Amino acid sequence: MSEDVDLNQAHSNAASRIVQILFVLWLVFVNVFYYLQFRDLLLSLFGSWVHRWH
Amino acid sequence: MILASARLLLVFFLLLLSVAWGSRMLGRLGFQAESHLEGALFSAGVFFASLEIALFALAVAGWLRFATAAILLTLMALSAGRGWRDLWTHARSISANARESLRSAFSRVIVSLIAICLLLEALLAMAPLTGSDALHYHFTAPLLQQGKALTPIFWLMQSFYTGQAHLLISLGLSLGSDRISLGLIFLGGLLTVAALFAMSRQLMSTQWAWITSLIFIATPLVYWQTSTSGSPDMWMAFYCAISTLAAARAVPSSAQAPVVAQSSARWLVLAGFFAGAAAGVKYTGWVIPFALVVYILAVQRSWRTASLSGIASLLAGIWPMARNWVWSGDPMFPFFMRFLNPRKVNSYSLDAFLSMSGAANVARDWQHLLGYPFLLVFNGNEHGLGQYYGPLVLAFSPLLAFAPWKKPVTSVAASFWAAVYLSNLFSSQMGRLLLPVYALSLALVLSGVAAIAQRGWRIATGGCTASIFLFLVFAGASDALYARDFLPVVFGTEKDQAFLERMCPDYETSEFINRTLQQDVRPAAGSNVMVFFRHLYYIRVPFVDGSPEYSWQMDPALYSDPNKLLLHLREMNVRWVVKAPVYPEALAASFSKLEEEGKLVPIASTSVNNLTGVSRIYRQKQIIHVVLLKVADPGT
Repeated sequence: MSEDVDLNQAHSNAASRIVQILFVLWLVFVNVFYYLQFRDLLLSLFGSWVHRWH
Repeated sequence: MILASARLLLVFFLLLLSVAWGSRMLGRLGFQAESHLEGALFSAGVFFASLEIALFALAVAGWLRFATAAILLTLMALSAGRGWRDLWTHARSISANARESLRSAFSRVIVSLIAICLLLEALLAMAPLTGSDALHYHFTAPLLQQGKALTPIFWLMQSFYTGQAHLLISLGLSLGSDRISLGLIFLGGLLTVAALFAMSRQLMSTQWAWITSLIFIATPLVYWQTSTSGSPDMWMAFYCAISTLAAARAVPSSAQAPVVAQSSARWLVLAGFFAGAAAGVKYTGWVIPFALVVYILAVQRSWRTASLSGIASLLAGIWPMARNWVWSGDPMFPFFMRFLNPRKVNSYSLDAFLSMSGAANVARDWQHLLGYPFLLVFNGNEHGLGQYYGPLVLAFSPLLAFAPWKKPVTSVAASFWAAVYLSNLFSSQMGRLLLPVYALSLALVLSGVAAIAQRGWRIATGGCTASIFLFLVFAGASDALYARDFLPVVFGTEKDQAFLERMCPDYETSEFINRTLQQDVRPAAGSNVMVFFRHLYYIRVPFVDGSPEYSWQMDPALYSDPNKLLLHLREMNVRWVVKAPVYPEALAASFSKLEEEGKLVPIASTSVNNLTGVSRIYRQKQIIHVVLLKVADPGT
């Protein structure tokens, strides 16, 4: 009986972990695509600095 | 800096007056808020929505001047009576609660950051007006109507857009400065943060509520709207938030059912009044009272309460639409002119207007409708500046499943959010117009984050924390960079004139017109100069806009013949025309022909270095040639 409970708990933990990891991947996707759109603005503000570094 | 402080003090006094007067009125009507913060917010909402109605009446009669505004505020201060004592009670309780919630070092850091953001926004609001839409109509229409009985300005179509919150701009102008108007817009932002905190406290721990408030106030779109934009839309967000709080008070939890049920109708009428005040700011806001009425019918199943709530909404917000109906036959001028007053339609201007509002370009195929939440965030430049909200609402949206849906505030907030989002999706797809519900959406998704943190979901909570941290760093850096251009003029290290030449589009052209016509030509009474550029606020001689894109009176279909155009210019008392650098495309041939025939004679010209492009933040400038031409007198 207690082995069944442990097994259920383990399954539940694993499922929870998978859901959380999928959610974090979703967060990465949203963040990456969000900040990508500011490339041009950042370059217009700091482009001269980038040029100087090179 | 001293003047800026004095203006902010006046705005602070208006805040105190609003809580005192509103508290007195709510007390008389038998309202008892659950917390002092909510009580203060409801009081401020009642005061400002009522003040806007009174200001509308004064404006219609042409009595909105310094003396009448001062008398009105004095009368309200005197009639507040016991409300001043309530104000003291509210202030003491709120500060005690704040001290209590600031015991942890983390909370103190978050609250300090909120205070820094608010201080920066208050300071930026004290810079001279440079917001594009504000220069076009938010401030220009109230300035043109200042001290005069309200009359339609058909050559500035967006003047029909001005709503109840624009009367706060008129109030600031009456009290002596457009910076007071900007200060009142800042106050709208400040009150919205407070309302968001009050709402968040019902959904999550105090610490998460502080974080939600910080995210909101640091969000670039909120930061811009609260400080320099000169648009009163933040008031819409405030009224929407307190409407949510009031409606949530009406839904009884099982323990309080007998007590609360008695007063629930009353709270819903108050929520309707606030929803109507939100609707009074902008046409698009009418979806808020509509959603509330549907919500009442769904939850309370009471036609009577729904009707009373709807009537309260109309009382608070119908006035600009009634005004537009009297003036044009279309309460939402010019959107329904084709149906309501087809004989008076200027098709060119209407199409241009629909195109600018986004309504004409909306893609309604299912891929676009489903993709809108992503396009809004990832490609905001094409969707009404949606990128300036940041990514958090979209990123945390899956966590809505964990929001406390049993709490009334959750369902009311979700109803408003869904209604505004759907109306936006099917009408304009302009992200900026979602501002009224941005605070609600943040509260809901952050309540989901708080819930998974409480469940001990460490990986997901870690991802959320990192996303929040990243956004706050990005937003903080953006806000600081943005402030850099405005702070010198606020602190007095840069002259207003130099600042405006640097930051204000079309300012140098306006100054050229003012200089030439005020000093050299001396405009005769009733004579106007016709301009074709967008940013009109700093023109200080009588003028009319001649762009068919903005003026209902300049129909290219009617004035393609140069002689008819000349006659029309004379009918409009136009004695000068400004070409900067070209005429509007649809009328260019007619104007050029008049020039060739010597009926428009150049009398002065200059070159100015004008801001160009879609936004000031890109700092793109272009030298343009400006020519002032005199309209030939009849018979020459």
